[in-house]
Amino acid sequence: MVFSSVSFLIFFLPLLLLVYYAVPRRFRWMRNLILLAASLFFYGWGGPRLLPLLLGSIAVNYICGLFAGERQGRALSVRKTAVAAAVVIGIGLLIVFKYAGFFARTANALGMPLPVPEIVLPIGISFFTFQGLSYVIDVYRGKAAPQRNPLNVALYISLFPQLVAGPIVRYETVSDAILERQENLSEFSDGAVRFSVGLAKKMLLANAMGEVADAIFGLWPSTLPVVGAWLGAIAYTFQIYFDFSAYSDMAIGLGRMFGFTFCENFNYPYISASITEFWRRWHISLSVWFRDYVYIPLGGNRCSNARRIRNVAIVWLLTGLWHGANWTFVLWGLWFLVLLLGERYVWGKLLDRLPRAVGHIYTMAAVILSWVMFRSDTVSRAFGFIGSMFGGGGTGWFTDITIYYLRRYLPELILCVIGAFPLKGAVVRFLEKRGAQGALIWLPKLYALALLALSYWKLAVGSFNPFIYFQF
Amino acid sequence: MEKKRRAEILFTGMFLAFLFVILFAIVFLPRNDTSYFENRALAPRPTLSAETILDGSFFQQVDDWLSDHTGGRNYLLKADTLFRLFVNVKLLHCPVVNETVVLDDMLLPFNEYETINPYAIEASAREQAKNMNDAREIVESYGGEYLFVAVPCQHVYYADRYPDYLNNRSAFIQTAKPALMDALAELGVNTLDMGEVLLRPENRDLAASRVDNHYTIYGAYLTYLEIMRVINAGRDTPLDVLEEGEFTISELPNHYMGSRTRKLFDLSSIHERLSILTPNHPIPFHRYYYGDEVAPEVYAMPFSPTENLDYGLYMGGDYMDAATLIDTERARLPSVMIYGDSFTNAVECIIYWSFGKMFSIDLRHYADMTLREYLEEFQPDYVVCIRDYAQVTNPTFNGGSVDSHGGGA
Repeated sequence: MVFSSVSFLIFFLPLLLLVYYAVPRRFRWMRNLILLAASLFFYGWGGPRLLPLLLGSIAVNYICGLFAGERQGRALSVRKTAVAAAVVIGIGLLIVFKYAGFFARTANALGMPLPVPEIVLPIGISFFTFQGLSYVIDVYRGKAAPQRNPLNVALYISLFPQLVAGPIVRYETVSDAILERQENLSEFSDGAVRFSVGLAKKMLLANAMGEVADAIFGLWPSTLPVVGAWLGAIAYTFQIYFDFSAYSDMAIGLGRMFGFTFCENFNYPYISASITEFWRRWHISLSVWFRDYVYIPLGGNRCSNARRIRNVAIVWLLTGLWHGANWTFVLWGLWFLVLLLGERYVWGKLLDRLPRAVGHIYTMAAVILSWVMFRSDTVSRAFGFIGSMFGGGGTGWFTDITIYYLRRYLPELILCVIGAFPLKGAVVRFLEKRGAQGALIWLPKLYALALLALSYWKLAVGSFNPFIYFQF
Repeated sequence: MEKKRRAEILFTGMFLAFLFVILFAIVFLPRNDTSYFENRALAPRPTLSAETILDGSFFQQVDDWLSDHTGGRNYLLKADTLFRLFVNVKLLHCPVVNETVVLDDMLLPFNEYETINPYAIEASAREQAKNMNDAREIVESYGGEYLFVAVPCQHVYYADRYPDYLNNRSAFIQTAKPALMDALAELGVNTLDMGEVLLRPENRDLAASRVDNHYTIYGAYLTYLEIMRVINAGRDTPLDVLEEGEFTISELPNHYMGSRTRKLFDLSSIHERLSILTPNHPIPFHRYYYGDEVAPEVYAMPFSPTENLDYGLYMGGDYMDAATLIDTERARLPSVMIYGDSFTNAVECIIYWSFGKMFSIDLRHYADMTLREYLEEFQPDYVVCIRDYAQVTNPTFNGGSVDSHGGGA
């Protein structure tokens, strides 16, 4: 089920709210049980055949969590074995379901004939695998106590707002909330505002940009004019941001409506003046996960330069592969590896001395090129597209397609540019200065209601509605 | 603080009310099975079974059903069209709304941008040509004759009216049509390119509709004339042809809901009317639909002048025309079979006049027999396949294999 569907918005959400809030707060276990049942229903909506995989992942992490925790008399080797088992089984499932086909195809391309398995990719497997590992590792590290009640582990891993597309919630940040959260009107109201804003970002901006990107990326790169190729790349740059950050907004908003506080996942990444800054603002929960569970255990920064470069390389290879089983994602990860190492060891200091606008242009150019690799089906198509962006298409600067999409989607493009900047903070500061308390209270709420109505309008009239991040 | 709390209560109330009102509307308001303006059946009620739940299709059906029946959908679709007509056409000067190009005096189809791949086009054209040649061989095996007729569709007549930056499909047509016609000529299949007649300046505006993909009844008449010219050229005793002056074309007062008009929810200001062609000396006939006798009419005439009309006026539309026989009970005359997409319908309203029997099938909808079986069963003397330019690289259904069953939709 996706948030931007009639099934979710008009049936699942209101009915769940009705049932959930009909149970008094003191029956916390009952509310948790309702949320868990709803989350499993939410996941099973696309096809219940994959539900056992999620339940299996939950069971493995629950059992490993029991043995990973510190307890008097328990040998360290037992705890380490529990963590190792969780990692091997979790990553093993990920490899089987997500990467087996990729490895087989690669082997075939290298002349080693292997049958390519036809395996359906379970929705959200990368997210719930990482969350499960987070639970076991946090318990092992003593940052949280192991859960005796398997339903609580199940709720943490399968909680529907962040189950299929994040943010990746680390166990230590929500362990208390599972048992002791305090739902209240203020949180609910703020959550509903955030949800409505997220829904509108998806319905009004991301989908429109998706139409432009799909049309342009669907053409042969060799037929693309320079401006057309850039338009397609920029449209996809906006699509992926407004799509993914919309999902995070909706997840965070829904979390608040049910009393959970999830970490922020995006912080206006397109205003960054370096790639290093970009990755502090983009998909924050993934960066933090890799930092805490891969980079630091490998030695992090506290080692020689050579080892540090190796550690960064491993993280970026894994980050690329995490996004998809395709060489384009590996290329995408390596692109950022090169840029991040370059900023650290080569041009970072120069970048700091240059005006911020220059850094911003450099960052956006690098990010836009990265999204071309990310969006393309094959590496050769990615290079073909990038070639067209620099005149390699052989069809000049403009063709009809550029003019059409620029005219047709001009309002959405302008709104995307505006939406990529942190204007909300500026408006709030402006209103605070003027002492407009009424506006500060009402403006976001009226804005959210208007956006909700517009989103529903779009939902009712449109069928173009795929969420990009479901493939991960 | 009190103000903030009051705002939160009000906002939360409105947020929940919004969701529950729509939920109420979906559950309790009456529903339609079809969407007239979209010209399609709406998603049916989901089928609940262990199988549909396990394979996930039940949930997909629920999603589809809810999307099609969500509260106020029709009003919102109309409002969206009206909004787009204003914003896209007036403000952005990009006259594309609901896949329709809205010009001052006509509504044309919006064509997706495409990369012309001559090799793929030629391959499809050759496949379709082979299928048609197979049909020709069957027809000639029992002494009949086969003719393929290519007719322009709306965007071909008005390719010059598209703004420069929109795809008028000229590049595609200029590659695809010769590819098919050349492939057919190589195989010895008789062809007739109606573009040579219908696109003449004196015919264009009379033959092409301004709001629909199909030609007018006059365009269909010109097509009939050319078909008869080709047929009579091979006969010792020519068949009677309905000449100018021997029929009346009368315009119906009803509102014509062309395919483009309909896509715009009838919100555009561009309108035209449909006409029917009536021979001055009508020939009585019996009409059969899948073997059952039905009313002897070729026009599905409206019950009142206020009823909307569409291209289904001719022969009753594609479904009614999927398997039709018109028998004029003149055994001395040869029989004709017309098959193809909906461009056949308007021609059939006229061509039966010149023959003893007229068979008609549309393999997009007719699935009882393969084309081979049908031809061998009824052995019509003349077999005419009519397809429009946009379909010349579509080797399926009416351009498909003689041994494949039709769509049956």
